[in-house]
Amino acid sequence: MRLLTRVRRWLDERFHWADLIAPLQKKTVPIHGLSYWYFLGGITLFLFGIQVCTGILLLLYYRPGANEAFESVQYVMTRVQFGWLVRSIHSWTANLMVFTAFAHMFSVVFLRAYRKPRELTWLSGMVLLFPRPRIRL
Amino acid sequence: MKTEALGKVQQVRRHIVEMLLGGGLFASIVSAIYPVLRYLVPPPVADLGSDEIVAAKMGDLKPNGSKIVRFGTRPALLLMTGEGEYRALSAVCTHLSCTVQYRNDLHQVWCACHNGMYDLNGRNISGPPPRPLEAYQVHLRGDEIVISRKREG
Repeated sequence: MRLLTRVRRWLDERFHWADLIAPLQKKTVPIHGLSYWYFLGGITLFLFGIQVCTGILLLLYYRPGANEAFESVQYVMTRVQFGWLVRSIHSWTANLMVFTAFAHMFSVVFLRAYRKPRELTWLSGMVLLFPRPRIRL
Repeated sequence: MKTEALGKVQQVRRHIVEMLLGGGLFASIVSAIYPVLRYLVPPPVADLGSDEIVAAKMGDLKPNGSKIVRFGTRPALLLMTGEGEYRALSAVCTHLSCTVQYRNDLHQVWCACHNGMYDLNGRNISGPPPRPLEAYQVHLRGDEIVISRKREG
């Protein structure tokens, strides 16, 4: 820990980013916001991160195409060490992410969180929702 | 946190708790990283391989013609003999893995790298190749020419 503080101080002396980071470190949230509904967006983002990571891993072995796709997925599931794990996580996360994304959207609708100052937040969510790839391995 | 304000017992207790927390964190990170590293190691069986592919359509090849197609991750050579019979061979030379080609002037399969020669059944007949080329099965499905790996047993 002490080493980390020193590294941080060393970097801060050179880049002066303490002011930049300060608003990220503490965000005041209304107490009534600390309900389960409030976390769905973050959960969706977390699941998306897992999708990206496991997706990149699967790209190593997956081959698209009518002839090869099935074979290569079977290869991942049977031959590659922990391939079953990576693909299953990818598959389950994909479904869970669609679920949490919609739950998040409905929570915003029903809590009426799309109103003034958050109209653009709502719009950005909609932009993210619709082109989401629905191709699942 | 004022560590000096705590008694010695508390210090020891805190140290143990920190060790446990750090150990737990370390263990969970390792349990996430380890499968990924094992996953990145390619398996000894390099390729489950496609069992079959559509190599060409009827009429794509004329007698004495040939075509190199992708078969899984490797090239395959589909050729039509002068009598109009289809043959399919692995196009990977058994010598140094160059891609072989059909020589319609010699009616043989030829590797350009070191002048290796194979006959139309894939047998190595001259030059450096040590082993015959793997022969694939060819069959027709509608107007598609399908080549497939021969299955043992």
